[in-house]
Amino acid sequence: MSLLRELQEIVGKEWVVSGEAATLYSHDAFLLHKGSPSLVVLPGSEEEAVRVVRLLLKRKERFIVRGSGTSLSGASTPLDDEVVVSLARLNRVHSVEGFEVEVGPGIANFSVSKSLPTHLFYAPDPSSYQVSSIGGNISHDSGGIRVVKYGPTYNSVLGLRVLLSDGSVEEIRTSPLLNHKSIFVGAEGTLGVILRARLRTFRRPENTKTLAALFESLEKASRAIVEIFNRGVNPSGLELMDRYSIRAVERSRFRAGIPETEALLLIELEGIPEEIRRDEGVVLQVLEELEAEVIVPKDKEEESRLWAARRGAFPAMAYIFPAYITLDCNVLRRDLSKALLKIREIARKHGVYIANVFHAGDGNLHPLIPFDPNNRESMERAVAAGVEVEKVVIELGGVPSGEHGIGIEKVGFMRRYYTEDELKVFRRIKEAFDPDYLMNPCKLVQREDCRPASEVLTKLWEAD
Amino acid sequence: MTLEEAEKEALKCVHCGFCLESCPTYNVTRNELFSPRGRVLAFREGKSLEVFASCLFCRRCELACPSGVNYSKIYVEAIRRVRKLDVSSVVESPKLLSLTLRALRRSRPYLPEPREPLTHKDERAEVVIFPGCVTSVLFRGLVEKAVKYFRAVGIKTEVVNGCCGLAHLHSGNEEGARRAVERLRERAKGRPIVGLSSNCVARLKEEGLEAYDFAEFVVKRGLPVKGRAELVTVHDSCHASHFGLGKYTREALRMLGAKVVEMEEPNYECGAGGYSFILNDDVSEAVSEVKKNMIAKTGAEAVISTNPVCTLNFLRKGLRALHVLDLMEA
Repeated sequence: MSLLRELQEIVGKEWVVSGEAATLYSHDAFLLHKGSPSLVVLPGSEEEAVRVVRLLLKRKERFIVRGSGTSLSGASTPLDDEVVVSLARLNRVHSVEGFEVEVGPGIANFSVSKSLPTHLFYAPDPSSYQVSSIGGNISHDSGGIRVVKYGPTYNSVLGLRVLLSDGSVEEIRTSPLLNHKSIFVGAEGTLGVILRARLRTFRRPENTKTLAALFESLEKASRAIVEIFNRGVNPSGLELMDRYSIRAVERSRFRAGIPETEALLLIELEGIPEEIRRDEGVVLQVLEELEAEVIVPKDKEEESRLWAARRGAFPAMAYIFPAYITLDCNVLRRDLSKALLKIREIARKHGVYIANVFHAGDGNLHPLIPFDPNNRESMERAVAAGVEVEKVVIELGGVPSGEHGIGIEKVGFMRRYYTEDELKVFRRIKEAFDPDYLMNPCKLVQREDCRPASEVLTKLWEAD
Repeated sequence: MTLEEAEKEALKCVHCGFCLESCPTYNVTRNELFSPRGRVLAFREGKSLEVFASCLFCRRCELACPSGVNYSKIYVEAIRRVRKLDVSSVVESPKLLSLTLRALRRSRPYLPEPREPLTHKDERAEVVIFPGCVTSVLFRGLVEKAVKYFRAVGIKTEVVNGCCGLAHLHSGNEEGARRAVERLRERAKGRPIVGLSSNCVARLKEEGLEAYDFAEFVVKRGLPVKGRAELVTVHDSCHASHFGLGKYTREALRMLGAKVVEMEEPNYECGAGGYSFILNDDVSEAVSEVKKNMIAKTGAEAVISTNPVCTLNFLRKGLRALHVLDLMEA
């Protein structure tokens, strides 16, 4: 029986997409490559998902597991004609108890918080939280604005149900020794299929307060970031938007009336009123010393306008150019200033627009490099600038990806960052879990036979 | 709207997917083929345009889109090429509309009995009452009540029957939609238009006409209202909610003495999707069920619907659906 027919028998005819319509699964939010999936299958239950994946494994089909398809690194983009398994329909809330919630991998991050009693919330909040799936969040160890206080997704995962390449379904629980939960967080779907996740939630803070500070130099803004922590304040959000991202946002529907300045810091404090008052005093002192102009939003509405501007900053780039590369390299807070100035230089050198809007509190840079997808030269300049940014960050001791994943975008940087021995260890891990390289092939950890499917990918992969 | 404009809009899409969860047809299928992002990609690639057929054209994705894609322009251009049914000529003629509805009524008993549209004209009428095509034949009682009400508060009115062109757009008939608006513009002769179908009002506003939803007009003019105190929930019909018309509905209800208990997402698509519900479309039915559950959870005695197609779909689902006017003492 053909694969199509066998899949149809498991999930029903309407849940297998083939032919031309499969093009709609040809890529995620990473815009530099489109695959041509041979089939897309959308199981409607955990049981169907298990049967589908077992069938693909038995037939030695290469496949990709996909959630909402919002990956910025192309982790859910087929390189070639891989089968796409969408787990978007596995979006159930299985249980809520105490501070724990158990969900299917296809549920949107936002829907997890919505399913909780009002006094709780799910902390990791990537900008795509309204739509990105928990399975995808786990597979990318997604961060977000609250990382600075609550940590990335890893810190919120308590247990996983995973389907392995031998067809077995394993319950992975947190263990004090040789904790194997960690291996699936950030694995980008290359080691197993996440069927269920047990997540921890936190008590919603009594109050929050937002401060905004305008700086005339990137150096001073960077110093303020370091000082806030040095003086014992751990904000629940600490974001930076530079001149170029402010310009993009203010042209978009997220405009919040932010004056164009070198850097804007958005600082969120939370806790009981006494705590907030204490922290606010410290932060205001730091801002004053560094000659920032402070804006205290007059009400919750103004606060949420500012945060919406921050959250909308990525897609707002569309008002500049219809496509962009988003890098997410990470440096230590104390190196932010150096990194930002170098990025400015790189932008000038390559004649590209680079906007920085990022999680400053945890040093997670997000240089956005827009390009015109219909203009090859523009695309190439953006790629070249991106490659150079990554190099600079790695030279500063940073890491190539903080939260968006390696995907197909940053595989080239793996060699630059990790030693050959480290990469060998990665490959051994990959081969232990997926000896035939069937799961999300050519992402994160590559076998020698992976070939870039386009010139742009060649440029990215041969980055060193 | 032209192909060029639609293409320009489609190019703005950065494929971020932020629209996904806002889309009712995606919510019930969780399949990219039923999502705004998938549809925009289909349009860009010129492939599988039939994915537009399941779109309920509620335009919620436009509210969610951070890149400002005007999906509507893409939809109209795409649906024109794949439409199976163009209802333009039916909605333009009250007679044909009545005949069609009468025939449909045999298998769809929830549809009210069609009636002749009301004609009414005061001398020196200063305000135009625009019922909208469906309201004019299926909810004539509302039109009568509106006329009586305005007479009581001393406002001279003329009832102008016709179509706003929204149904044309849903069928991809851009030209017909434009003509419908032009006809209305001529007949309004610069007078303010008070609509009894809120999605039509939204369409007229978007086309630059001075149009008000009934409740909006009452609130903005500070007109007196009296009515029944009921426990209701408010459905914000899709196009109308783009113009924030729901706040006037609520204000008018408050003035009437009705108590509003809000549902989870008042502006969530009712599921009707123009005429999709009449065609017993599976996706439309699944969305209708989601909406019905949201309404049921409120415990309200009735759902307030200011748009006739939503009302019909609520009736189909066995709900008690009322217009603001239904609660008023005329």
